[in-house]
Amino acid sequence: MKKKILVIEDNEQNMYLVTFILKKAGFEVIQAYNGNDGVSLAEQYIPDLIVLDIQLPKMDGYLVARILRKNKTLEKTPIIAVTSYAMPGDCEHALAAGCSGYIEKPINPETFVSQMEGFLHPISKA
Amino acid sequence: MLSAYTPPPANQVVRVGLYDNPPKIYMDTNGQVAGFWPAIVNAIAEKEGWKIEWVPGTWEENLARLESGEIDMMPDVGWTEARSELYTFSGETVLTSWARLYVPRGSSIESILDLNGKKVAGLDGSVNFDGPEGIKALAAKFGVECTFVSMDSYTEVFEAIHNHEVDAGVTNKDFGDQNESKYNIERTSVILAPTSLRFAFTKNSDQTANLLRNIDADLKQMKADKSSVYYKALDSYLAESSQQNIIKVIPPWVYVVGINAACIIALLMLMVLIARKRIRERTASLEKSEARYRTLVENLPDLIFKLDKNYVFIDHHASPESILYASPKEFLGQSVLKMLPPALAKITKKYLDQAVKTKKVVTYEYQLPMNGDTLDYEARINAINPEEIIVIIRDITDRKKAERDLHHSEERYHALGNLVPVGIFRTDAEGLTTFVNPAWCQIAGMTPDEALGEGWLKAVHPDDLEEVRNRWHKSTISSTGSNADYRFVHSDGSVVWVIGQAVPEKDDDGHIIGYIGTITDITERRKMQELKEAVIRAESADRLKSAFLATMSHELRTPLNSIIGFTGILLQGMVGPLNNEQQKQLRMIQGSSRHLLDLINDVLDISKIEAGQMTFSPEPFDYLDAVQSCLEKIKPMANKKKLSVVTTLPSAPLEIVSDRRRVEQVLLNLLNNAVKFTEQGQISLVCEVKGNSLITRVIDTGIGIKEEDMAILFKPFSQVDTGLTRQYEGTGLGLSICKRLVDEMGGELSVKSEWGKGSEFYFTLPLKKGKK
Repeated sequence: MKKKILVIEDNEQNMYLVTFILKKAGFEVIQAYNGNDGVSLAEQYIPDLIVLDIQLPKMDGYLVARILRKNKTLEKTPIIAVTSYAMPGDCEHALAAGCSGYIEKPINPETFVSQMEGFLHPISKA
Repeated sequence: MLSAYTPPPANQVVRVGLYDNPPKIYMDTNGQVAGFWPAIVNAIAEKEGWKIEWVPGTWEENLARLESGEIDMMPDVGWTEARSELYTFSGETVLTSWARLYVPRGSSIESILDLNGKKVAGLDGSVNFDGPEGIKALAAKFGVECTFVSMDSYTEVFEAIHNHEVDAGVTNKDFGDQNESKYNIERTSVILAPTSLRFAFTKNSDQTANLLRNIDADLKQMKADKSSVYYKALDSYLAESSQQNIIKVIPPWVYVVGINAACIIALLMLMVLIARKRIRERTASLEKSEARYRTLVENLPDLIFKLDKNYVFIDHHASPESILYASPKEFLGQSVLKMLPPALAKITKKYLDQAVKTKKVVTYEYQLPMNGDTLDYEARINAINPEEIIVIIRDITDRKKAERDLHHSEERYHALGNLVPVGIFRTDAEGLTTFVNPAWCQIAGMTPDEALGEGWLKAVHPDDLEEVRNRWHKSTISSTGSNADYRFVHSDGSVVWVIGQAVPEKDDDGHIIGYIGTITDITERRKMQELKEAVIRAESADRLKSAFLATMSHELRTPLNSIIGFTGILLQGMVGPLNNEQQKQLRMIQGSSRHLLDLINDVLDISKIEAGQMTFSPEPFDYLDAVQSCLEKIKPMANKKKLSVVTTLPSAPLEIVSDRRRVEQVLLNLLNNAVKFTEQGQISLVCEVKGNSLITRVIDTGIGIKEEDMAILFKPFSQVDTGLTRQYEGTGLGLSICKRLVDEMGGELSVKSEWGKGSEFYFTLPLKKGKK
């Protein structure tokens, strides 16, 4: 069964890029273009992994992560923050908000899929 | 009777004093002796067969001559008891006279009391001047103090009044009647010394008795006969000058009756005047004594002693609250000087003597031990009557204590004012400076003299002057305090900031009597504040800069993400196969976008370091592992340029505690540079431990660095030799980032180089032993 990945990203090109890479690798991708939609789609589809941009309209990535971590069903779902690593403390904030890991922008298309597999791996084992 | 009579010798010479007192006696313009008295004297001499020898002199000189017997007689001498002891007087009164006080026309002097502090002229030795009822005695009686100027004749007296050399003058009425109209003077209502004017004879001559008898007899006869020389002389000389012409046309009998009536009226008027004057004097004296008693009553808390002329206590009054040095039983009947302690007795005697001698109230202060305390007293001695000396003692201990306390307190404040580092100033009610303390002078850079009045404004900074002046002016007009920051400029040009404060100073009635204020040097405080503000400004500018750079970096990364991402997808062939040209061009895009990314990362790093926002996460790791990982990354490029990479490393793993990511960043940057700037030869990496430091050297055989470029090598955005920028791509930020990172990690980064031969970059890191 295909793994479901929820991508929450407001930039259309980046959304297309990430979606393209993940679909090529055989994942099912659900797209959300803002934080609010991200939260409701996550609760609706219960994805296996969430790729979360931090700077988002309406509700930023930190808040999305916090809300999702309060949902019992999503408690252990890997949430991967994709940060621009611009502001000091971005990563620390992301981890503190409940993210499982972070990837600096720009993403490397050659290694991106293996990074995702790494986060999925311990869960698939459990 | 006959036996007693001794006939006068024929041609007996009688020496008569002559002096100038017109119209009664004087020398006329022809050198002839004239006047009322000479007329009488000549008539008597003619009758008696005497030869008259006139002896000219002043009134005083002739009285002295009369006393010593140099002359036989003097006319027109006012009878007094004192004089009757010096001379023999005729029994008959020749004239009745009195004196008047004259003043310059328009003077405000109306009575004796108005003479206080004035200059009064009079005839030396005359009854109305020096006699017991004269002006001097009268003034003393009324307690009026004036200066007396003795003159040799009444003419001089009138001249002195006329010329305003004196404020008033006394002459007898006869002289006044005759002469007052010639001067710019006027009579006052003050009348003095009504006198019986007679002949006076020397007591030192055998002739005197004879002269006296004859003259008395002749005078009696003359006065009885209305047509006698006596009345003629009165008419010629003593009728008031203004009436002389009228009188002359009146028949003699009318004149005789008239002169009698006039005399009676004059006498009546005189009596009325004298009576009135006496009543006034009595009233004044009563008022005075009443005032004296009132003063006594008001002063009841005082101790009052009455002493006799030997300074023996004869009576006392003490209020219930007054403390006595001894009981009345002990001191009454005793001498003051015996009762008091010796030192005080000496002082007391001195003042008592002074009071008795001067007849003036004497006041002095003294101290007396009383029940263990030393009390202060004020004594007033009144010895106007030397038989009954009144001494009033007042306890002034409280007043003296208050005075002393005030003095001490003022001294204390004065000392304080000299010590405090705060500038103190005082001004008058108009705001003009009257005092500044030493600290004020030091702060303002002025001497006290320069600061007085509005002088202090000269030291105020020109830019503040207008406001300071206006503000101070306003506060003095509105009588409020003020508070202002302003600057003083010293003569050496240095500027001192002060905070000035002032409050109005008020007297007991709440009237402003001045201002008192302080100035405090706030230059240091001000400098600190300015510095702080500058720091805050700089910090906020820095924050803005780094916030801007962070935002920019984010905004640039987002499009870069898709550029690099899609390029990567295409190059991976995920979309489909590419021909050679497509691949070549896509790699160019990939290279350029990666360079752009480096640039963005470096700019971000620099701004973070400069803003102090770079965070380090130290952790233990194997340094050699990090070195190997960096070497792996540069090997492809070195191989491509056919450069050999030589390493000298310790054999055992080398654990250090640092931020591995940052350490690798530095190492990689130096290795990259070495490869980039070396066209042939080799790259060496040497690692060694020295003491507590880990030293890493990256040595190349490249182009090297010029001497003059060494200084700017580590400055941001300064890739050395801009001409080479195209040849050697790079941001120009790498070395400055490396240097700062090493600094932040507690090490040092340095360089040695020779142009054209190569460079050696080396850096140290503190060696922290692991848990082992």
